[in-house]
Amino acid sequence: MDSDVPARFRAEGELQMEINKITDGNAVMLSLSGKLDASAAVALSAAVEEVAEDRDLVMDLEGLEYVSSMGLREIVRASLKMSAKGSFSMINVPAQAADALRMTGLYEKLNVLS
Amino acid sequence: MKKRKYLFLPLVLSFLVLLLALCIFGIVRYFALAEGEGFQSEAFFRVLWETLPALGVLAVLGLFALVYLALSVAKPMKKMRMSVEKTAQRVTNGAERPVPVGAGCVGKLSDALVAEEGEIAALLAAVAKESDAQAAEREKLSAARAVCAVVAPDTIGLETLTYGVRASILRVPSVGADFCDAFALDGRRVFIAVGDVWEQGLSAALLSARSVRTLRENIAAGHTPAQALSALNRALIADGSGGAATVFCAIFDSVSGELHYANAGHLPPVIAGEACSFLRMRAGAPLGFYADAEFSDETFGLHAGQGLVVYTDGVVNSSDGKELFGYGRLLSTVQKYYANALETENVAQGVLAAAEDFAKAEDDRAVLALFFPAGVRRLLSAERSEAEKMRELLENWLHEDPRKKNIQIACEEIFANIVEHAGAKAIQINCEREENSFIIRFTDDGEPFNPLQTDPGDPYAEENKGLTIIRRIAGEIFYRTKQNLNVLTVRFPIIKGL
Repeated sequence: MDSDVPARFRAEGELQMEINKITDGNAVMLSLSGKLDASAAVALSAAVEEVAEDRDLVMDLEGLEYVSSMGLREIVRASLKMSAKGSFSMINVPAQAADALRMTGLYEKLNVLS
Repeated sequence: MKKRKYLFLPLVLSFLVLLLALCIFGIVRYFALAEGEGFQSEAFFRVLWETLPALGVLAVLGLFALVYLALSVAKPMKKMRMSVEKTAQRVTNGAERPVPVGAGCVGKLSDALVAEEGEIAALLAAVAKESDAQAAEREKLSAARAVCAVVAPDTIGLETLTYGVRASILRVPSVGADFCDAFALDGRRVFIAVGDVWEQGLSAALLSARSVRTLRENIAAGHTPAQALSALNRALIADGSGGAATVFCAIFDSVSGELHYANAGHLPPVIAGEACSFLRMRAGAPLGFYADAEFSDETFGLHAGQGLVVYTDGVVNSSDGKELFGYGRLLSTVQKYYANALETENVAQGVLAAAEDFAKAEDDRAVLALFFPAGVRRLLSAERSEAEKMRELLENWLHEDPRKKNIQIACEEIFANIVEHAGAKAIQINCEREENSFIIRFTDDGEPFNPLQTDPGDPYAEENKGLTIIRRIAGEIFYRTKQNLNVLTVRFPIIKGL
């Protein structure tokens, strides 16, 4: 398996989030852990920006403790960017994030794998 | 350090006085002992021997003074020099600094200051630059707030006889631009909207402005809430700026109690009343992302006495570091305000206060409350001057009832009795019409007091006229205390033919 060394981003601010990036062939997995608030959303946006549009992007949200509306916006933007040429999916969506996705009507639109 | 300061003056004075006394004593003693002319060494050494203890004391005092000087001057100067060197070292990222060569503390400090002159200037310039960046950021924020203040005011108060809308927004710097809007469509219908804009700063404020304007235009043109949301969604996507928002909006009919609403990914509002629950609705989708998003018009029938509380995620997502404010606390807070009739209208402010007590805001918080009172309702301060407002309320509500004048006089007397005797701060007047009766209810927060049990005195005296009338024409008078509030209910049978 030819995976890159995980790249790590750390968001500034009081609430922090970590993003681990693993590339395997054409697929890229971003594992999010911590709190995806407004400042962490900026770091997520930068991480997604580095992923080429024709890749298959998977977001692993297992370690995600909290997601704000700005965080949801970055997830939707990532899915819209990837779905044109590549693909977007999410796995291990925790309960709070799943509730937020359902209430905003995004759960069905974001290809949550379970 | 303070004690040392107070010790220093007596120390120096004692030293000087003792030195002076010793010199005078020595001179006088020397001349008394000296015999003959020239230097008499025997006399000198004798004087020296006699003054030896005093010299010892002088030496100790002098030593103390020197120690004091070392502690109060030399040590802080050394500290200051080290601090200057350290600061400059930090500015130059740990590069080697020239070693000061001056003699003594003052010299070393002076050398240190001269050597680091450039770095200190650079540090000050960096601080000034940072301040400029902060000032620019502040300007941006104030521009965003200025836009928000125009298009989405922080408070809304809309009162009619049959419904009320109150909204409050707590804004925090740099994050989002939540908005609330309410406007009367006609005498019986009101439009309400609450939105959470998924943007920041000035662009968020402009998006708020655009959302409010587009929704208003569509609703005023006769479109349904779902059609208005679709129009806003299309506008945001066509705009291409990537702006997004969740919005709940509704048209409330205060005669039928029907709430016609549509949702675009917003959190479910609370149906407030004696029991609180969340409004069931289709999620829709956030505006600005999906051109094919569908929004549905739905209807819910509010009962008289119920209300609707709409909020943004800044309320429920408030975090104290361990847990979120959440939906349970939201429901119990709304319930608490609805359990106390005099507090119900403060529910929007109350929810914001509860969230703020729980955790400091990190995101905008907005709460809009729609009231649908049973009959008509007015909350008044317990002051005599407020009686005029009650008179107006009854004037409008009783229309052409022939007993209007008498009912007004009776109610004014009850109101005056509460003001005079109950020690209340607030009085709420509720007027409802049931099948065969007018019901007027007085609720106040004073001491337990029945306004009808004042000393009857002469029933025909002018000041007792109101109570006499009430006893004559009221079908039923009922006083009780409920949750520390006085509640007086007066029922007047409706005369046939009205």
